[in-house]
Amino acid sequence: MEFLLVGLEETLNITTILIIAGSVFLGIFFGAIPGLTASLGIALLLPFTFGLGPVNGLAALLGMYVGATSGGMISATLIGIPGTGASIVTTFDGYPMAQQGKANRALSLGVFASLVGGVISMILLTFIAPLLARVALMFGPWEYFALGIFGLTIVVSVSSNNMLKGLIAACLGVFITMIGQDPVVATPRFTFGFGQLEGGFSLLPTLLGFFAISRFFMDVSTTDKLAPAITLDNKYKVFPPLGDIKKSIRNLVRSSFIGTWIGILPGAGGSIASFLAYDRARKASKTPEKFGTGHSEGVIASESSNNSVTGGALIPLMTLGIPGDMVTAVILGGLLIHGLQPGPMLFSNNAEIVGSIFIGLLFATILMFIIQSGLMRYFAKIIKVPKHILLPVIIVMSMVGTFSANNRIFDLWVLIIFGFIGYILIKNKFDLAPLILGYILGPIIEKNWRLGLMATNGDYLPFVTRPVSVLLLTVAVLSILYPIYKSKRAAKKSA
Amino acid sequence: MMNSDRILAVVLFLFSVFMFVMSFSIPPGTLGTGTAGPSFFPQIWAVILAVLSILMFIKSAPEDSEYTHKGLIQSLREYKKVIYMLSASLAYIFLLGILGYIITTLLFLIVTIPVLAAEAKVNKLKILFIAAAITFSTYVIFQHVLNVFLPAGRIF
Repeated sequence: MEFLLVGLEETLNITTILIIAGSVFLGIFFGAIPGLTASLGIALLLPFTFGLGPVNGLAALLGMYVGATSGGMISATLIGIPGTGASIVTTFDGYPMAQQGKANRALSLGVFASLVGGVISMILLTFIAPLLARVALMFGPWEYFALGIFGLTIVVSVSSNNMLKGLIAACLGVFITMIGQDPVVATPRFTFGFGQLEGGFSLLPTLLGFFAISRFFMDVSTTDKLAPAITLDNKYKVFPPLGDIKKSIRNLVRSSFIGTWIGILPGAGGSIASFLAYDRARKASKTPEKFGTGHSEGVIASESSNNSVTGGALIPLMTLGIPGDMVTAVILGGLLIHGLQPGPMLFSNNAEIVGSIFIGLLFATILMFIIQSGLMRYFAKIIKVPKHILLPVIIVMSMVGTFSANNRIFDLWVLIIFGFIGYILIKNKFDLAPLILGYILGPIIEKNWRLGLMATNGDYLPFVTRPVSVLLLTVAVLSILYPIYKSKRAAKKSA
Repeated sequence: MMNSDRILAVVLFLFSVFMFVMSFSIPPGTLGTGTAGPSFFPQIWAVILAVLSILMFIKSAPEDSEYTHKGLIQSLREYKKVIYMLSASLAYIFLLGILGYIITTLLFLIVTIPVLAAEAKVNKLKILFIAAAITFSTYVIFQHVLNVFLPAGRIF
């Protein structure tokens, strides 16, 4: 546990704390505005963290992550529209509470539940991650190949409502990485003689193109008529009523454990965690009929679980180098850009970074609580920022951010083209999460397949005889086949 | 009838065939050949994508399409706006290296904000003000606070 002390040493200074506070603030802003997500916020922030160094740069990304995850509840409660996907469940009880004139209570409960969820998941992260890293040290290319396949299939089967389109999106993501040098011996592929293509499509234009620019094209066709927000009165209390908290200690702890567990599983994110926690809370409640009518337990279950996903999602990222969801895929990019290779070696080579990520996450959670509690009245107003001010800022930030990373105009062309492709895909009801994961996992899968074969002189057997590898591959195959089987059976039943 | 999912399926199929064919011109790796070589994965993924796009073509029966229900005029008007935005973005990149960050950004915002604000009916003076405010505040933040290198343009 000495890495925590080192982390504390690295993080406990005015600059780092101010950076975390600032990015948490921005994150709450991103979370609160419907349509702006945590992944977009982190992707936009990424290029501006280059100059900060790894500790401060990662602190900024974590602050954005924590802030955005929690900020989503502001619009969920006040206008009944979730600011991020993770706060959908908060609308079930938060919005009715606000309509009944209890907006203050709903928000203070939500902020408090977010704090508890964040802290519990951070504690679990501190215990689980080093253990898993020790196990992962024994992994060879065979296990990593299986992990990549596992990650990809789980994501496709869970995060997309149309599995076929999810698979196609993942394929397209993999193809983006095929262009340029191959990951093992750097043979140029599909460059068609263009020198610019040899470097491949880098992370920033790809991410920002699919997240930010595609929205720019989407939003020219949508109107932004939001429901009038419920206003907060001036007596916003920082702490929720003690009675409410006392009654829900079990609920808080259970939901936080559910959230952390869901966070660890690849593919499943905040929205699934909060649905599950809400369901469990209703089943365990003495008054299940009150759920959905503005019940405080519902808000607590949703907000503690979706915030505890943050710590859980960092576990596979840091120990295995495999991102569990969209947001951690972007954070993975952040680690790589700062020259850090996530995986079990991170714990032995960069213990100070590991420690500062843990401590940074804790600080971000506490600062999120302080900032939200103190400034709630002002955040309640920003959800009405008009689109024609917001989008131009995002576009300009994407362009400048992309350009500044490599000072290449070529990256800007890529940004716009990918944005347009993203727009076409969204229009045809494709989910872009599998695409980004294909982009991240594709090279991991290919590299380890080839390294594995080279190590055994072309013998395929280790892929299916090494226990961890065979287990992961079996789960991967099942996760694709099970939904098909289930829908076939459902079709038979209805016929 | 062709709906947009079918058209996309055909495009994806052609793309996968193209990638499959092109993968044969990848030079063989110095280390590892055959299934461990650099052209094995592009071929595997191309085959997977081809199969998936055929499945998508079959599954996207014309009656499933939203575009057969939605008014064609509406989607055409929407596409006109999207093409407008796309051209504006491409022009922005093209001009960035010539006119520099401030002028290009200002111009870009002046032509795109009215489209984004279509429903809100913002008057011209306000658009100019918003565009100028965004341009200068981002310039100051990027250039002087974050020390980000911005293209200065060639003509100044």
